[in-house]
Amino acid sequence: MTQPMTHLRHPSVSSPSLHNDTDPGKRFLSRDECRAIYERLRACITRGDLELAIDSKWTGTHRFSSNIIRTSRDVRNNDVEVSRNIDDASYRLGGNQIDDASLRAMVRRGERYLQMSSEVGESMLSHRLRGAPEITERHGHTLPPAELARQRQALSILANDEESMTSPTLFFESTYSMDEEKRAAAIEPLVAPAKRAGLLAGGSIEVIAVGSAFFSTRGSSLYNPMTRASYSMTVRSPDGSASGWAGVDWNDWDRIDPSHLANIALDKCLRSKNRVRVEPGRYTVILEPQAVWDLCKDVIMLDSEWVTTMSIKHQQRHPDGMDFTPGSGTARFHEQLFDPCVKISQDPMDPDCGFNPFSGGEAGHAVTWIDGGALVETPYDRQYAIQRLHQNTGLLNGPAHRMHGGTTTVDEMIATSKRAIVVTRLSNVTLLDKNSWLLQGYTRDGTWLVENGTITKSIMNLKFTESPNFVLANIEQIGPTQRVFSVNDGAAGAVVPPLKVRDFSFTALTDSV
Amino acid sequence: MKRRTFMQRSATMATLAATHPRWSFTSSPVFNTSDLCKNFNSESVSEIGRRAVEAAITAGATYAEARLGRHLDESILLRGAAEEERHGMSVRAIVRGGWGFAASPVWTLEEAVYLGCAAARQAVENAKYAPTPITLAPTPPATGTWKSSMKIDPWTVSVEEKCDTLAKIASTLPYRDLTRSAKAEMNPAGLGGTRTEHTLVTSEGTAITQTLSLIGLTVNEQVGIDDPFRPSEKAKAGQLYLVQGNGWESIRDYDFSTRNQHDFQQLFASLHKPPVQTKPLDIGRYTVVLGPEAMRAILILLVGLATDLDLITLREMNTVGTSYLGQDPAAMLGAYDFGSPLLSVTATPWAPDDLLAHKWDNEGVIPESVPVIKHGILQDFATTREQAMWLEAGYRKLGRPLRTYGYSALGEWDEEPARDIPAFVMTPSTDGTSLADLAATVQRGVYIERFFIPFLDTDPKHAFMTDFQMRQTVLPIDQSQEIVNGRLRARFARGRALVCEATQIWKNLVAIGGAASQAHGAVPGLFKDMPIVNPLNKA
Repeated sequence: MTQPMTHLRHPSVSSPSLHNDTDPGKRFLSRDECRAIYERLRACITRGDLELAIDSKWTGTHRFSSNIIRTSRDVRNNDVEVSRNIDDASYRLGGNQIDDASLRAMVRRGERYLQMSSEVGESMLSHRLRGAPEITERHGHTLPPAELARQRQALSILANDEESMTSPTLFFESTYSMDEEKRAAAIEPLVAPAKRAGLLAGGSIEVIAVGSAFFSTRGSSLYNPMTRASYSMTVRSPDGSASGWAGVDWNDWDRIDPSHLANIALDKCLRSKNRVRVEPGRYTVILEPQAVWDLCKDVIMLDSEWVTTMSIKHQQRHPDGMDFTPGSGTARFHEQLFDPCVKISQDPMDPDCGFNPFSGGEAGHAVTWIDGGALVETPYDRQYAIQRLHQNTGLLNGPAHRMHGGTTTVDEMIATSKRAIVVTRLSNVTLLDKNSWLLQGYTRDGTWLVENGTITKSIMNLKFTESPNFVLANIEQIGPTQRVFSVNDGAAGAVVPPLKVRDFSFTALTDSV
Repeated sequence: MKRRTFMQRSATMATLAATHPRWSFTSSPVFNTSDLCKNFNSESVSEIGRRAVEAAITAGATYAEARLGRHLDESILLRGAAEEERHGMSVRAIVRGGWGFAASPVWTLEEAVYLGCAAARQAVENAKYAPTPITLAPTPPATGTWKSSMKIDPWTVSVEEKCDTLAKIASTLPYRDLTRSAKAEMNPAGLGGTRTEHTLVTSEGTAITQTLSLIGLTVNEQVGIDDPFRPSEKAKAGQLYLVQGNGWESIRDYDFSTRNQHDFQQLFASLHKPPVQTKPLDIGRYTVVLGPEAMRAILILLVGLATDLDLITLREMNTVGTSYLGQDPAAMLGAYDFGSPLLSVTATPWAPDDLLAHKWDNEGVIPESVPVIKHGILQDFATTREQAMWLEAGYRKLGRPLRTYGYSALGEWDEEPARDIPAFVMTPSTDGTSLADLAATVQRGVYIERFFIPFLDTDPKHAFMTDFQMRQTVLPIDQSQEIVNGRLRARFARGRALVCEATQIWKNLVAIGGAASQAHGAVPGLFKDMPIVNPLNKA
């Protein structure tokens, strides 16, 4: 029903007076381009501190379903954040434009902002803003002189002493070169085996390239380019009786083996046919790495709410916390929460899950958060580190984490199980109760019953009601780690092992495929 | 702008307010907000769109459309303000039956040409692997401009006037007395405004610009609302909307000396109700009367989501999931039986009081109501232009014209058009049955007034109260009462959930309310043999 656009064949071509410095089609900004923006912005101001954070991003996506490419997209965008601090006042403004007019407008808005603040004689405290003005009271009580002195010292160090940063390699040409032609061509061979088997394949390939920059008048000049590629695929029988899934993301497209993953999804679908019902109840479960991630990601990512509700409030360590009383709220710090095999860490230089080493000018470091099943560190920022711990660096909770594994393979877990359920992944996971971190959700895309050391049946999907706290405390076996599909969960990457866990709670059956 | 987007932005404003709890604004320099943003001539913007479309057509597209979007956000607290401006452009094109989509934040003629060509280039690649060419349902070209209904554009009002108005309102709020008595921390009022401009130019001759404006006055409070699904936990913050509107007059004319105080106290009281005596609800199967609000929630999840053609046709199989209705929507027309002749549902573009209502959808179509279910039989779907074509065989079989009803969501410029989730109106019974009449027929049962479902109105696909095929839905009960011998009795404690099996629930529907009982677009319903469980129970 589409019509040729005859009325637009010879349009007027008079140029509107719009100007932008960006070249057409440019995917993301280089270090020099980001610095040039910073210099232009700096030229607009006469005094005070200036911070500029830029994320310029390109995303290329192809989505397919029922064995056909449905949509593709090629999107570029910028995230520009300007923070200023003059005397006791500061502001932060955001936008996506990098032309002179937009930058000038941002500065002008900020100046108005500061003028308003100065008129009321109070400073605008920007949450977690480096160089934030000192806090002189809490809960209406003036802080003691020693506290104020510590704070002033911290602010002085923050203003004059930049942290050293690591330089992980997160940019890969293999990912960046995945243009629309290559992405489209990559899908056909992935879909072909499913098509030949009379099945329906659906999934996506997404590649991202980001240039992250941070500049400040205190001397910060940070830039890190990063790429990320993700691939996931579901294969389903046309009658909706069987389904299989596989997926992963890496910074380097060359580390993804799409054909292998496509075969896994196909194999799972074929093995999911003829599903039978098993009664809900408590089972030993073998959670494949993706299922472990789906269930335990709040723990693995050290979700701040999870930390809080575990009574590990570490308020005395938190600069924006409500309490300076040492020792309060640390009841479960260093306590044995989980099985001793549980270890969770981060490292920006980790070759399997590295991450951008800075956030807002603050450095990310290698940290072990959970060791021997106990929480041994909690995140805090640099201001707190200087002020309270007399250290020069904070512990930033990075966006990529590793849950360390063991040596028992999934096959060995199956072989050593008298009766267990193997789970590929979990879906629609939602939090029911914060205190126990109780979750509900559903198994999906491949669930099997193990009897006497072998998989005997494909089973219908089950609803679970379970807590990751319980799961991580009831581990029977732990396997070798692998990178999982975490791109939709706000993570920059995750490496997770498979687990065999006892007494996992399934509460209902569902007919869903 | 999607509801979700606005809600997210409102939340940002709430956070800002919570971060700056003390305030005492005096005066500020006079600036018009619009002075601080680049002024774009609408002709220039349309010209960029035309150039992008022309580039795509020149590159071989049989159809192309360009969207230029601009978003302005403003949050004003008494100690300062924050603003953000973002804009960008996208081009979507069909070449040889394949789609291509390209977007960037740059508004130049050169970029427009680049994006037009990029979209066409993608479409060419995709067409190689698309055996069935993409076509769009016919629609007449739309031209013109449209603005939200407002007398005074909030973006022409000086910040000084906004701050003065805010200060005046805030000075009358009795929050100090109230918070002292309730041991709650109440933060002062804030003004939040959002303006979005959407320009669409297509190769079929559509050239429209829509401007949506929304402004609201909020108060943030820090004690929060009980979360019935997490009975041991309280949310840490809540937000009260004192007033919302499209134009500045809705704020300026607000009578904060009397009505405002009354409203404020009412709102505050609603969040801090004294504890009500409740009794535990035993798990089991019950005859259940659902109030209109509870019925509306079920309609959104089990009809609204389930009739999304992207889910039915497996396009979201790898992500959100699919639909329990099946996979062939054309065959469902006039055939799929929900199981109860009492169920008749019409999809509407938005509720009558929706401040985000607009003239055209994201494809330049004027939205119309759709009869989705009539006497239990599925009649039609709320579709986009592409989705309507998937129903062509069904329409032909039924002798109906091929058409779209205009349900492409007015989204962000960097998002591909997607189906909007309509508002639903349930047809009442003709016999004037009231809620009390329904309850009167129940010897022993449960009246459910409301469920607790986060994201129901903003992002129901991620409400996650249902499985990935929407077969089984577990709905946490927020407000419920005992029914004994036909009368409403004691309130039940929270912590229970109603389980709905999608293919079964309507078969359990015995009676529905009449027109007088209609609220929230739904009517109350009487269901037999409905399971109520404790969702926190492990196996």
